Amino acid sequence: MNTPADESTLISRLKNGSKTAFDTIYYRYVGQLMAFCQSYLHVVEDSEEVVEDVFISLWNNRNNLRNSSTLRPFLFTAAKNRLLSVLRKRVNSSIYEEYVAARHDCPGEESPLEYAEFERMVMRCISQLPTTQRKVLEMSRFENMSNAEIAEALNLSIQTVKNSLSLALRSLHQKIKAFHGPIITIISIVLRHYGS
Amino acid sequence: MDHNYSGFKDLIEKYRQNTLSPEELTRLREMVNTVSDSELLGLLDENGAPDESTHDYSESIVRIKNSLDRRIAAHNSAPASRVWIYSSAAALLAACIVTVCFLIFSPEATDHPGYCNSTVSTLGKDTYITLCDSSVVRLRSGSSIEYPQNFGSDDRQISFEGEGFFDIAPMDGKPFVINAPGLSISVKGTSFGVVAGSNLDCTSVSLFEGTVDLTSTRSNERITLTSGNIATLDTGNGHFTVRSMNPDIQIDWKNNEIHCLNVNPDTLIRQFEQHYDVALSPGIKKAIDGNFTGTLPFDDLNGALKVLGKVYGFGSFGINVNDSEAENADML
Repeated sequence: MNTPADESTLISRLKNGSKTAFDTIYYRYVGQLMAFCQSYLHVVEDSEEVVEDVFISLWNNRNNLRNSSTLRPFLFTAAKNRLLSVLRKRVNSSIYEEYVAARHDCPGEESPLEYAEFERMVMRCISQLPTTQRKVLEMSRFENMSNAEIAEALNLSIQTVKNSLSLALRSLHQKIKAFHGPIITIISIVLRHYGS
Repeated sequence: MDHNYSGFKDLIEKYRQNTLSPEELTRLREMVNTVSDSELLGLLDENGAPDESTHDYSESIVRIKNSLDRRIAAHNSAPASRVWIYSSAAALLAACIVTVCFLIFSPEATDHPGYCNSTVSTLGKDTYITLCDSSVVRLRSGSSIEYPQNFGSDDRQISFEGEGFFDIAPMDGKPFVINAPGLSISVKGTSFGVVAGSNLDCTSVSLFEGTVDLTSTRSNERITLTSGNIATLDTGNGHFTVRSMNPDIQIDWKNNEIHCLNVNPDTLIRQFEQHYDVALSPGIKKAIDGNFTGTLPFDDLNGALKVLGKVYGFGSFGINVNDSEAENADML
């Protein structure tokens, strides 16, 4: 069982440069930090990056640590600071918006798709679209450009942009349906939102 | 913001639980885009995090630890005034795969220091070895490595045969040298990635980042290979040829993935057959009729075939295999 005296001793040894103490602290807190970061980020790779940065910060600042009984406040504050930008980006993401809409429409689904998997799947399917359709979809969907703006940027007629967007959404529908049946609901939402 | 504090906390909690409605997401967006960092920090509740035992983070924990160890080791060995090219690569990220022709064995390769440890990977699975300098070696099936218990004071040398990935810990003043039949690879720079493929008549090294020095033990020809290029050694005459690498295929060996970006069918088929050591049937080749963007599992032929099958819509297939794994390949 971990006692305050144990951790005080570890902190003292860490301040003196003990890698062993650092490793002990790492294994003591890494699981909690991963769970904490995952609860906000929902993507393992993002969480790993934050947690690694936190512990690098601990090591680099070990000489300046206060003589306290626990490192928990330091570690979680460091994690929160690093979470902020990722959290803002995630909440503002258009793919996350679609994910929320899909889950809201399928509340009773037994095995709901995790966001990380959903994001990878959508991006993979979008990247497989023909070039023009992909560019039109990305400009419309991720850059919030109007059909007229897209037409001008790509030197196309507005009707061509509309047609390309329609084809892109239909292709996306088929590709994602091949991966995961219930996601047809997501594509329906995408179609309603952008197909008109 | 105080008067909405409890409402914002509820939104954050719903976000964590993945139970937001679209309308609630709109309100959450408005909040995170308007409140200050300190106010948002106050809403992140570490005590509400799920119990770490509800999920298995063991792989993440190992990955993070390995990365931390390398970064710390690099920081400790480097002069204080050194400037790292990449902050993350300051600790690590050197992957080196050397595929060697087993039928052509250079006698020079046996003339090496007295290594104390020797490891041969088990057929059909990869083996991981951590060297005394914390470098990590991933041996592919049927490969072997010889390495000392402690490296010398001037350099770090190992002997290797087969196929493998090398995650080399940077050490200023102590280059890392891999001695393989017909070839010697000397690591330069703080980070590099190398992927090599071969056929029976030659050895090749593909470099993703950084630089390495290659020396042919047969001709003594020496070249410096820079990132984005493939050096092929003709083990018969000992001479190198260099060409540009296809940038659209990226191997992420740490995560066991191969990332393809808009790869044309001919290249996809060729690289697929070479990497998985199989010959695809005419039916499959015909079905692959468009460019491919996606991720394939690095060492799972069945999984890779399933991915392509879903993308290109082919079902049952036949393959001529050199790998016993693929004999049982099947489609969902």
